[in-house]
Amino acid sequence: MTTENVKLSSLFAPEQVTCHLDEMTCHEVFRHLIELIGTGNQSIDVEDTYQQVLARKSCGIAFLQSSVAVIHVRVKGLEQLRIALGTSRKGFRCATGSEEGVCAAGGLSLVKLVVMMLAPLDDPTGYLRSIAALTQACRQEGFIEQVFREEEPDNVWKTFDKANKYLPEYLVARDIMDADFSHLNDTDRLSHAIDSFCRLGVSELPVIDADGDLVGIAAEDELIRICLPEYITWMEDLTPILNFEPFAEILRRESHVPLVEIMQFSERYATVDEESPAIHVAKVMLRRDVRQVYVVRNNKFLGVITIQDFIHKVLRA
Amino acid sequence: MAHGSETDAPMSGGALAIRFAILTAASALISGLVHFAWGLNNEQTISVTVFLVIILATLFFWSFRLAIAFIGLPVLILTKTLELDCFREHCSLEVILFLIGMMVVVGGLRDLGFFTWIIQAILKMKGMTGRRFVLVSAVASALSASAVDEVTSILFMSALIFQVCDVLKVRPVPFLIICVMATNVGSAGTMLGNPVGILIGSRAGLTFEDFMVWAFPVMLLSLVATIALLLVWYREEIRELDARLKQRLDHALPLGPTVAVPFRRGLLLIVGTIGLVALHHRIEVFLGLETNSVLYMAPLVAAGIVMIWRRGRARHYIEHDVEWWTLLFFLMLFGVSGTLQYTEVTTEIASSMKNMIGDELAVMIPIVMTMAALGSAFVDNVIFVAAFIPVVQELIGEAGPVHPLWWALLFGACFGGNITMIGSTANIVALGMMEKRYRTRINFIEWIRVGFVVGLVACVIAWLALLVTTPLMISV
Repeated sequence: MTTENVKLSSLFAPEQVTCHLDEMTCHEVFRHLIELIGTGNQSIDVEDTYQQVLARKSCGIAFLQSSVAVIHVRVKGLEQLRIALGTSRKGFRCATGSEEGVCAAGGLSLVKLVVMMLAPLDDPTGYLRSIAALTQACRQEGFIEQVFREEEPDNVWKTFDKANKYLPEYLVARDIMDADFSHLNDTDRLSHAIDSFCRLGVSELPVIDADGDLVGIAAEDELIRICLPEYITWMEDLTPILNFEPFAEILRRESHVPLVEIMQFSERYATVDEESPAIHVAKVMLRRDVRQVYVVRNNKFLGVITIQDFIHKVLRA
Repeated sequence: MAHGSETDAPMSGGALAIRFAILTAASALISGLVHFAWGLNNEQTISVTVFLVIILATLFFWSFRLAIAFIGLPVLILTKTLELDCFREHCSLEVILFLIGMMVVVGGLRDLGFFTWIIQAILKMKGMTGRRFVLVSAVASALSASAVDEVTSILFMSALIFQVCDVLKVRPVPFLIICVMATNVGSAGTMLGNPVGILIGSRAGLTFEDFMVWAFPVMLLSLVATIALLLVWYREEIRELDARLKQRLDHALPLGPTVAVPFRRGLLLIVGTIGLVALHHRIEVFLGLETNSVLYMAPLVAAGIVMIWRRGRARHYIEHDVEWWTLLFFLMLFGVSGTLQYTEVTTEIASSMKNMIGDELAVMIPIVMTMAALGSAFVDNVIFVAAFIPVVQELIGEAGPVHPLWWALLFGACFGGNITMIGSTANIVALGMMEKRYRTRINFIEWIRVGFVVGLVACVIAWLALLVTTPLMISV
């Protein structure tokens, strides 16, 4: 596949688009999309590819948005990247392998657009760049709603073509970030932060001000550190505090203590510009020894890239 | 409590090779110079070269310093520059045992919540202001350095500074510098404060009481001057701390959580240990024991009691709280520096000094103090003092143990540690902790600007004090 000026819509035809997936199960959707790509393409063994999808589905699904799932596998002998799309107005649950439960990456969201990408085994970049173009298209105002609304494959393809997105030369931070990542406001109280940690199951959250600028982060471990500072943990014998006495102060004050109490400032977290190459993000994570970095544009908070994002979107590519 | 760590970033093969090449070339050059220019014999040349290589190793190969000392000692033995008996005589095993005992006691104190209790007492103080916080933390740093050791003191005082600065959201650097500098000054107060103190005490035959009479008051004077200077130097930062503190206390918010700590056991341990150390001379006289024998054994007795009392943690104290790396380095270093005396290099240096400056104490005191201060600012003060002790012994001759040159050496080595950020172990440990916690470094210039002034003022005060006390010492 050439690496320049490849339009996203050129990677599939209206024949590789299917609408009204509402009545199908998750597995049926996958098989159907593989069949759409495999029709007339001798290099694709539909059954074998389907088994590959099932085998790696739990960690092979990337969610560009909560309602847009991308499934990707590498196929031996395939000459260039191939895409098939399926849409569903009502949405369906994208469940993992044997259990019809919850997808590791997608949570309980209803999927309305499934993108099946089959990539040549020896092309490491095509899939990532396609994802980037797809991500950009999905972020275009009204684009994704238009795709969901269309009832004919032809019109879905035209919507993609009209979006006029080309595969970028390389992946940037913006392409792999999670733009829907929850955040806290600098005016929030400690109680709100504690609730958010418990509800979202994340270890740290960005804190933004009224202008949307990233002003700090709130971290779970800092919360624990505030209750149990270093000078208390020096004691080998913790008999005096076996009943979590230091936590009582936080419980008493959490509803009126400002979030700034546990906020950590720029020296304690890492940011990258939205245009930074993805490889730079990996470097920042390693150098700063952090598990997630914050994507900004002139300090305006845009999204988060976690190590999991890397595993899902980059290492599994 | 851990006394620093070997946390140097791994060096690339190329960088390592370049540094080794520089070290070898510098050593060869210095060897040639000392051999031909000073007319030293072969043994003297070898001993000076090995010693200088160890100094350079501490500057350029911090993480390799023990390995280089390990190689240096066999070089001296195998070239017949040093005999094993002489090594045993000079390696100051009693000092090493003293330090081991104190490290175990410090581990016990930490486990028993003694340091937690002190920090909580400061955090809970009524009517706290920015200025008062600085004053209390600086005095606590100095006194705890005198009572245990400088590294332990800065480790737990840093935790206090970080806690308060984190809560008040202020830059910790000025307050950390204040505490580190107070720690270095305080470490000159007793034999317990700094390895340099016990080393000088050991070689000069000084007692704990000698330190309390001749060093502690000078330390207090220097501390007052140091704190006053730092209060002015960092007035803007203290004002900001004061404003934040007031805001917080107005809302009745604490500076940190506090818990009930059963501190009496820890207090008993530290009072008992220091009491035994303080009374060592009287006990020795009473029992007719060798000078300083009780002094060296007191921490071991206390450590033994701690290890029986908290037997479940005994192995932990020995394996984790005793800084074997540092102590082995000291052991090698003392042995190697003893070679300088054995080969009479120190006699040569002492006679050169006498020829240049004469034997007037009024001239020798500031010169010894300046040399010790400048030497300690750039080289580990233990290395400098270990090498300089025989020189001072030569300069003093047959005079009694309480001689102003010993105190000049002590004050120079301890106060000089404030001049640069690598001047003392306390500086390195504190900066390492800050770097790890905040991922930020103190600028070398930022440190030396204040460090030079503080070091100079403290040394001038010590010099003036020695001018006044010299006649009293000579008459003792």
